[in-house]
Amino acid sequence: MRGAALALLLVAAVASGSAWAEPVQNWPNRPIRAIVPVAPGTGADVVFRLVFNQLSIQLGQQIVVENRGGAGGTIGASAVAKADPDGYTILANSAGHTIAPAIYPNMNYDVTRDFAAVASLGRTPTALVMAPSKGIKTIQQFVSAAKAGNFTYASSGVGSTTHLTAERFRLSAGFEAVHVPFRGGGFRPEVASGRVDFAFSPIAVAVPDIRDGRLVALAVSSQTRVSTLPDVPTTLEAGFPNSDYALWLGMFVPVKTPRAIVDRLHQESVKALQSPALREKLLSLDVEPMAMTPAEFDTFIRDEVVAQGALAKAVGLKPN
Amino acid sequence: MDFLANLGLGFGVALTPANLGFALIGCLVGTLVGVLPGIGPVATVAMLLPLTFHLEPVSGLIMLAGIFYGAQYGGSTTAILVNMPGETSSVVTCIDGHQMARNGRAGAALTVAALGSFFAGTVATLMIALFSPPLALVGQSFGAPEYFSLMAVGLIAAVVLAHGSIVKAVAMVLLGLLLGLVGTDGQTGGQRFTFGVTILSDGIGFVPLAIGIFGLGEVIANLVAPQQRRELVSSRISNLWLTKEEFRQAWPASVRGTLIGSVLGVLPGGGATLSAFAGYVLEKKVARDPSRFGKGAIEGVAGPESANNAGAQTSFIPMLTLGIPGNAVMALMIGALTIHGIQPGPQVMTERPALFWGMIASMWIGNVMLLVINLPMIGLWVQLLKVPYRQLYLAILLFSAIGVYTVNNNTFEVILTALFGIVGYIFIRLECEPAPLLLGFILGPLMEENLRRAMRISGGDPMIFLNRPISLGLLIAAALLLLVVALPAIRGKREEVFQEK
Repeated sequence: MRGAALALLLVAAVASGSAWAEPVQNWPNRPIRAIVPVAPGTGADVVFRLVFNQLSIQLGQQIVVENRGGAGGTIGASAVAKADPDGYTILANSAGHTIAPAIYPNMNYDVTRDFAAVASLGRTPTALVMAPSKGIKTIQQFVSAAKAGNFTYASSGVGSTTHLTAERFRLSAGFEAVHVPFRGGGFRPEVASGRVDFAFSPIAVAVPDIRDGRLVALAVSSQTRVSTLPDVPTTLEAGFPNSDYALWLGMFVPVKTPRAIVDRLHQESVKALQSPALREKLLSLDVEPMAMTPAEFDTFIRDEVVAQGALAKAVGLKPN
Repeated sequence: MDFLANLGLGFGVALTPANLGFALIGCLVGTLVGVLPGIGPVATVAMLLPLTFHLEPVSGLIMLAGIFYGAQYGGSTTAILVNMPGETSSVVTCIDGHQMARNGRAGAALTVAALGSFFAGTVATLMIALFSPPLALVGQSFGAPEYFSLMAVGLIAAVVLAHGSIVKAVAMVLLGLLLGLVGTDGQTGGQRFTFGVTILSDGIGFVPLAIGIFGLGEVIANLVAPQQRRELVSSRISNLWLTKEEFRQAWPASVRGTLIGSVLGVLPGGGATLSAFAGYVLEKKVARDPSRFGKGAIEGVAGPESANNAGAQTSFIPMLTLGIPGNAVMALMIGALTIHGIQPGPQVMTERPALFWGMIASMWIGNVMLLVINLPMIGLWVQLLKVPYRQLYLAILLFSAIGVYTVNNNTFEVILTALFGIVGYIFIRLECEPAPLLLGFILGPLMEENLRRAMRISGGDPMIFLNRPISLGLLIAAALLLLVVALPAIRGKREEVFQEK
């Protein structure tokens, strides 16, 4: 019986794919392809490239970044879901990964079932910013003004983090506002000039404007205060429960990738993130560490998919 | 004087051997990708982005900038020689530039493109140095209503672009608008005309459309034509340099193109493409004999080529002073800066003067390099036309396919390009000009987006377009333009403008 079980295991091992044709301990022995499903040069892309740069040095193999943007990141993610699970194809994705199922129900892959989470690379909070000319100084003043009049708010697109952050805060604080979506981050002058009332902006982008007085930051969306804006309260502190939201960044591989490779990649990523040079660079971009084991990260993804789906439904975001 | 001190600081940075070297590398690479159809500066800059991790920020930026405007120079080469726009901004150069090549004046067309670009680059660099802060303010005062009104002017001007029948021109603009509608509705996230194809949810790409309709359509038409006609281009190549008459016609066009390009380049989202289109329309309007356009008028090359280079240069102003990317390459530049912890914005000029002025000085140096690289090459490029077409077209097809693929690493777009090639051939047979279609395709979605954005901001009140002075002015200009096109009283004049066939 034991012999049969062993044989069955062996068959299963062989059947589960040519991916195991080479021994796992030799990984990596050729360049690794990293698919980044956003346009090159965007905030997330820059972070991924910095991390992969360090990882390439540690692994002794080049990690080649391939930008496959489009359709909210689902085109790139779909390519990785169908790639050989041999550890030579990585997906680097952001919070859009778990927002996509709420917006694209016809996706040809499953976010929770087709990927193994490898490492969370960090998160970047956003700040609620407004033109100083509006004369609003605190988040409490803001909410009472928002309840009185119809505010407009800018975002970098329907279903983007900046959109959902604003919606989550709006639901928690209980006011109505008109969404003015932009393509990408072009909304800064509109908010600074006061033509659009407010926006949740990624902090690294907004800090120079805040420092020079072109924008006022009223609150940050993270769970704790942000080092670059120590005087600005969090929305949670200000008394708005369930209003925290952060853009996270993470690394994934096809779900059938050998566990040994996932673990190795995880350890190397943790090591890379702790290297002083990279750490400092990421902090200057306001990417905060977000340490999680692969298992914790998997759970986080599952919870996020549910939470984003519920939020999308609550704000009336129509799936296509 | 502040200005001289700043320029001195800039040249001090840009003239170090290392930075001169990076400018040269950028210009060479840029020329190369510009010349190869389809392979654009966006893909190239993206590939070279990791290199800049290890460079000084200013060196990295100088190299990437060199690629960007090097491609503007190189892009006109393929437009003129094989009717294949390498970049959005060289679409209009195809119209008269390729006709010049067919008339045996390829050398002159390339020369005037290079000289016009150099002149525009020099003036635009000076403008950046002198007027960056006030020009940044102009860009900032442009909100959604102003953009909408500007696009309205642009669309009506698109009709003027065509030299065939006006009905066909309007039809092409409308077709362009319809093609531009494909994709995700930016305001609701709904899908339009995507037929369940995931890749279409981002709309039809500009590169497959332009390369298909202009380039491949032309290839098919050439192959269908009898052997003799096909080789016509290569058999009569006259003097490479400009004749006196050509020079006299070209230089005022170059000056006008430079001015219009410098202004339009400052607008975020405007940039080189809008500048080139505007430059062409302007030339056609001021020309004593508009019927020459579309048949190889040298002003139709000098104007838009100067305009797109000026626009490309001044599009650095919103990037450097506001941190707003006017186009994809500028977005990559912002990425290159943020990697080094520099957040583009108004503070860059004051906090990192060496970076800001060094970059501006290197732009001018880059323009000098490009002129030196490009002028001697013209003879070589023209030789390309002597390659038998049956061999040349294979290379064109191959590079087009590679170029289209590298944009998104997607095979669907290559197939789309082939389909648009067939459509392009049909347009040639029907004598429909593709340039208005492309303008409709580019401007339509922007116009819709800004219209709906403005209406949301105003809470549904259309008066927002009339209450804002800049927007009102642009709308009046659009109305006047429409009157010129539509008024029956001046039909006689219009017939001449559009030269009904």
